[in-house]
Amino acid sequence: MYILNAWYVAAWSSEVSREPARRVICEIPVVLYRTEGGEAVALEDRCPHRGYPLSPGRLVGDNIECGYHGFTFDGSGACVRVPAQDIIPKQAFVRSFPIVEKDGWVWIWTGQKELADVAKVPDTHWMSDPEWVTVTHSMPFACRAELIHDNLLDLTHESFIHTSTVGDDYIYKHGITVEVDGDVVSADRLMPGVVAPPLYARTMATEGLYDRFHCTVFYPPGYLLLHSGITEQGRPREEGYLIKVMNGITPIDAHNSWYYYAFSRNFGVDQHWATEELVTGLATVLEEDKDALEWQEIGLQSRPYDVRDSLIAQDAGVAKARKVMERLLAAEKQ
Amino acid sequence: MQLILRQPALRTIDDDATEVVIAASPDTFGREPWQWDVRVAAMDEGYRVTAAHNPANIKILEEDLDIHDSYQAIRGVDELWLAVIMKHSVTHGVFTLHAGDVAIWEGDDPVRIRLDAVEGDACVRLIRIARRDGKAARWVP
Repeated sequence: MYILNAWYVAAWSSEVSREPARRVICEIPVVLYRTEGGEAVALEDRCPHRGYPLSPGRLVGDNIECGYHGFTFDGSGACVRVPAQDIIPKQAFVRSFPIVEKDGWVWIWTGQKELADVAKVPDTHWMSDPEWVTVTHSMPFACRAELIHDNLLDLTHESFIHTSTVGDDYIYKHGITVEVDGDVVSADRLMPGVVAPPLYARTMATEGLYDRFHCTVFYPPGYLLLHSGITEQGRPREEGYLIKVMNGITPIDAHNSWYYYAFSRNFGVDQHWATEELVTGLATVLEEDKDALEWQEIGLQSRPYDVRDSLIAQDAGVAKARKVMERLLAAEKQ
Repeated sequence: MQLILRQPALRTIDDDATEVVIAASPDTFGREPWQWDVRVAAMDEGYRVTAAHNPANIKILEEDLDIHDSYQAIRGVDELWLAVIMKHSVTHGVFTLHAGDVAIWEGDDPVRIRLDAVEGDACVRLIRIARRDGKAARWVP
């Protein structure tokens, strides 16, 4: 079960080209391509003729031709050519999806077209702001999307999973403030007087103690924005070395997800060595999360249905996010 | 741990579509034996707060605060406190809480509670929850 009336990340802009690309989003097969004018198109990746995917086909101008029998569809999903006859069957069309391309992200609306509100596409402006520099990664996780939500809303796992990069025992020793405002859930942790995380310390050229913070904001169902950084002790957060981690979590099916990850920083912007170091270091962080969550998915699939999580106070953000997701899912069913 | 719930509601209950459970132990159906819950309903004339508990295990103290300027108190680390803003607004640290908002505090941080009225007299329902056995009261997700 998925919340479909929502914007999900379908791809990076750089992944959408004149070569059709297949994605599966909430169990819906989608083919992505660009018109000759550069506009991104998203169509259901299944020819109405006999169900063959369109993505192995080829582009003919702004249209896509099925590789099996040549049925051809325009960017709206209308069939414009059936090679073997002149008449185009009425039912020969494919579903098209609203698309928004912004700051290097391609967002797709998987629900009712008339509800697609461009204003609700999440804020990712740091990606295109010259005062920030960004590292991106994306990879499939063999786990349900909710496990990635949980992972980002409870960052105490950093103390155990990410010991060489962003983790430290002091994380779980500090409490959180969880705020629920409508559908948006945030979990904020301030860690005063601590050392900078190992992965960033060299880039930040830091020594001594700082105030560290991280605040995950969940915009359900598919985007989590992590505001993170360090400041001089007692100083406002906006004065510090700031990091914005944008996480697009797109369900593939009940047990698999796409993770689109962008890490923007406002320090060492011109230090290419630092960016290279972060490319490697952040890939390590993601691989550590992937490994842990895929094991968790295995654990959950074999867990008896009547056994529940034993959440603790540090899971307050997790618990509230789950309730919001339940409510949104129930509302969509009505 | 600090939890701030903004109006509007999080979860409706079966018998009254406007009333919501804002915190409970447990907050997940069927997890553990029920201990307490606090509900808020939006009414035409303001908010109705209902606190229920298992008296064998739990003590609850409810107090209506009229805050002209500031309210300050030290929360016991074993106590769980809920503040429901009934009228006007208060600040707690960096947070401004408006009528219908709820703040919940538990565990060892924060223990110093300070609510400052923003404009005019604020009314706050303060609910203090403690266990009879002296162990720490928790909001159990």
